[in-house]
Amino acid sequence: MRKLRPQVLNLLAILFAATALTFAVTNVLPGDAAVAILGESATPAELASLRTELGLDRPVFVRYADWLARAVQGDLGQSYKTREKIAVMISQRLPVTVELILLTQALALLMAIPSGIYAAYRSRSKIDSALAALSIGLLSMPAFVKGIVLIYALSVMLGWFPASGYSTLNDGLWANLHGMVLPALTLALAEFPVYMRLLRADMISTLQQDYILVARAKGLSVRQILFGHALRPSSLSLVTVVGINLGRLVGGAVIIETLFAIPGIGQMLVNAVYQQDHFAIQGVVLLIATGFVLINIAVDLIYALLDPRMRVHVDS
Amino acid sequence: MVLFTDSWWPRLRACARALRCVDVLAVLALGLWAALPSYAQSPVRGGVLSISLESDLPGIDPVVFASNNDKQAGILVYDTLLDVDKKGKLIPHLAESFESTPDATRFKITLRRGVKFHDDTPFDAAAVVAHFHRLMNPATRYKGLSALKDLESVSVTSDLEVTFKMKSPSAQFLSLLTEAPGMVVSPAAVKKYGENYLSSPVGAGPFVFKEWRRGSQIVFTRNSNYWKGPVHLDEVILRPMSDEQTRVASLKAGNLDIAMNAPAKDVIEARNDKKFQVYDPGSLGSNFLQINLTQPDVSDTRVRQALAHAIDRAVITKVITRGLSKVANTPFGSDLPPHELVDAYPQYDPAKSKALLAAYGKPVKLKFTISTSPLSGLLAQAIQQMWKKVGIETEITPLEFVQLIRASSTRQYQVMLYRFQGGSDPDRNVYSFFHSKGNNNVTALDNPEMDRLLEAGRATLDPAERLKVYRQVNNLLARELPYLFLYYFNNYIIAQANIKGIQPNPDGIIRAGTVWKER
Repeated sequence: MRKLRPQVLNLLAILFAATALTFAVTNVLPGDAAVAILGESATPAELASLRTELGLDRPVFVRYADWLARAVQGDLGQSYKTREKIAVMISQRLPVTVELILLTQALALLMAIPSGIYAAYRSRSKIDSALAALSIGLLSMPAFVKGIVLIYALSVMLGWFPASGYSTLNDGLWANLHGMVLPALTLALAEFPVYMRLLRADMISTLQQDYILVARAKGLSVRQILFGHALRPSSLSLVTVVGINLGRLVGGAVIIETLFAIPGIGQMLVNAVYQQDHFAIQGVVLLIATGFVLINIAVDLIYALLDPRMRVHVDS
Repeated sequence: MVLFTDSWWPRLRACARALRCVDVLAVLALGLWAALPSYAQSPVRGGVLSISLESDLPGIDPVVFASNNDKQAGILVYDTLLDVDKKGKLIPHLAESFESTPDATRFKITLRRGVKFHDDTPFDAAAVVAHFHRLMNPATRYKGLSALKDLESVSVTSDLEVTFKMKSPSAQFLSLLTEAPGMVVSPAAVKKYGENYLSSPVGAGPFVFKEWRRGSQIVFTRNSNYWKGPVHLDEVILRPMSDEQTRVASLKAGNLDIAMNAPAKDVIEARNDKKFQVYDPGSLGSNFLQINLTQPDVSDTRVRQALAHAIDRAVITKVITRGLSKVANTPFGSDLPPHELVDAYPQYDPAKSKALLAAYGKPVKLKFTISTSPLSGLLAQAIQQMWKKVGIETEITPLEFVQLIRASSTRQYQVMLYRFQGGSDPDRNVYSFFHSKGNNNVTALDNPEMDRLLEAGRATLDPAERLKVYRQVNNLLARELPYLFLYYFNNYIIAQANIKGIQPNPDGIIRAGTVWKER
C-alpha cells in the first residue's frame, strides 16, 4: 500500500502534464472549431458569434482551467461537432479498442511464444534465421501497408474476412470476431517479431544456466525443461514489453481503426483532431494517459508474481 | 502515282471516320442489348444496400449538412421539395408544382396532398414554413444560412401552398429546394427531441431512420408509405470509411454495394470488370486555383495570365485524373447550361507566358497552398513543374482541410488549390464567390461589371437571357482570372453489377428509393 501512494501521485502529475500539453498543442495549431462546425460558406460574423458561444474567444489557460475544473468532477464536456457527451462517446468506443488490443496481444503471443522458444532451443538453425529474417521484414513494414496487403490477400482475393466494418457483440460473437481478425492480425504482425526476439534472447541465456543442466541431468523431457523450467524466468522482459505495448497499441489503433473503418477510440481521436474538437481530444488523451500509467503499475505488480526476488524487495 | 499521293490522306481519314462510326454503332448496339434485359426485368423487393460515406455525419439534420456526403443521408430520410432531372432542369418532387413572379421576387410551391412524415404527422404548408423559420433562426446555426440571406418571409397561403418573398430578385432561389433547405424536417419531431434531433431525424423520404452506430454505420429501413410508390429495398446502410483504399477494397471483397468518390485508378479498373458498373453522373462544379488578388505579384493581371498560359491542363487530365475528367474553362459543370460558354480562356502557351512575365519585369515567387489529399499533392507538384519551366518559383504548403477552409475564408494565402462541387443553379457557382459583396469572395475580386452581371443573372427567369449573362460572366472571368480553372468536378460511382435502378444525378447522390437488388 505504501508503495502505491507515490505511484498515485505520479499518476496525477502525469495526467496533469499530458492534458495541459495536449490542450496547449491543439490550441496553438492553426484552424478553428468554429470553422469546422460552420463550414466554408460561413460569414465572419457567424463564426465570431459561434466562437463566443463555445467560449473559444477566451485565453487558452482559462479554457484549460475551466475544462480541468469540470473534468475533476467527472464532466468531460460535449463534442463541438455532434453535441454528444464526451463520456458517452468514449464509453461507446472504448470496448471496441480494448477488444482490438486484447485480440492483437493474444494473436501476437500465440505466434511469438512457440516460435521464440523454438528459435532459442534451435538457435542458429535454418528456421531460426528464417524467423529472424521474417521479423525484420515485418518490423520494417508500416502498419498501414501490412493492413492493405492483408486486406487484398485475405478479403479481396480469398474472401475469408470482410475488408472493413465492425459488428457489435449483439450481432453475434462470430460476426464480431470475423470483422476483428484482420485488424488485430495487422497490429499483431508488428508486435510478434519484438516478442519473439525478446523471448528468444532471454531464453538462450536461461538455457545456459546451471539448473537447466541439472534438469537435463535428471532426465526431464525437452518439453518439461522448456515450458516448465525455462519459460517463466525468461519471460520477464516479455511481460514488461507486452504491458507497455498495451498503451502503445492505442497509437497503432489510430491508424488501423481508420483503415478498417472500426469505431474505436483511435478513430474518434483522428476525427476529433481533424475537426478541432478540443474536448473530444482531451477526453481521449486523458483516457490513454490514465491507461498507460495504470498498466505500468500493473506490470510492476506482475513482476512480483513472476520473480520471487522482487517479492522480497517489496516486503522489506 | 501522283494521283495516289495526293489523295491518300483524305482517304485514310475518311476510312478512319467510317471506322469510328462503326465503333459508335457497335457501342450503341451493345448498349441497347445490355439495356434491354434490365428494362425487361422488374424490380425485386427486399435486400440491404450499403453505400460508403467519406466520413461520419455531423448529424442527420439539414441544419448541419455541409457536403454531398451529409446530403446522402438527408436524401434518404427527407427527400427534397424539388429535384433536378438529368439535364439539370428543376422538376416537381415533394412539391407537386412551383411558380414564380416574372421578376423572381416571389415564389409559390404547392405540396402533394396526403403525404405524411414518418411520425404520421401531415407534410403540409405549416410544416414547410416551420422548417424554414428554423433554418432562418440564427440560433439554429444553419450551415447554409448565407444562401437564405435574401429570403424576406415564408408564409402559409393555403394548407398545401407556401409563398416565399424575396428582398431582391433571386432567380436561383428555387434551386435551393433541391438541396438541404428542401429537406423538410417534421416540426413535431424537432419539438419532441430538441437537441437530440441531430440523431433522431424524422422526414417524409423513402427511408426511415433506424439506428446510428457512430463511426460505423447508419441504418435506414423502408418507408412503406412513401408518396412516390413502393420502395424496393428493405434497408439502406451508410458506412463511413475515410480511407479510399478501404472503400475500394470493401467493394471488391463484396462488403459494400456502392462506393462514392472512388480514385481514378479504381474507376478505370472497375470499368473493365464485369462485377462492377461505373456511373459518371456528370458535374456541377470544378477544380481550380484561386488567387488572392490582394497579394503581391498575382495582383497583376499579366502574372495571372502567365500562370494560366503555363499550365498544361491536357497533361493534367491525362496523367493525374487518367482521362476521367474534362478540362474546365468555366465554373459551370457539364449539367449547368452555361457550361463551357466562353469565347477565349487562356490556353497552354509557355512562350506567351514567358513574354507576359518579361513584360511584368520582376521575378515571381509564389506561395501555393493545398490540402493534404494525395491527389492535391500530385496536382500541385505537376503545376509547380509547369510554372518552373516559365521561370516561376513555387513553394507548396499542404494544410488540413479545416485549416485550408480557414486560410481561404480569411484570405491568408496567395494561390490555393480548391474545388467547389457546384450548386444546381449557375448563380450558386459564381455569385457568392465573385460579387464584390459576396459571402465567399475569397479572391477579393472587386469588379463593377461583374457585380452588374451577377445581379442581372438573378433578375431574370428567361433561360436564354440568363445564358447570355453567364456567357459574359465566363468571358469576364477569363479576362480577370481570379480563378485558374483546371477540370470539372466529377463524382464517379462504382456499384456492384447486381444493383439496379440507379438514376445518376449530377450531384452524385444516390436516390435509393428507386434502387433494387437483383438476386
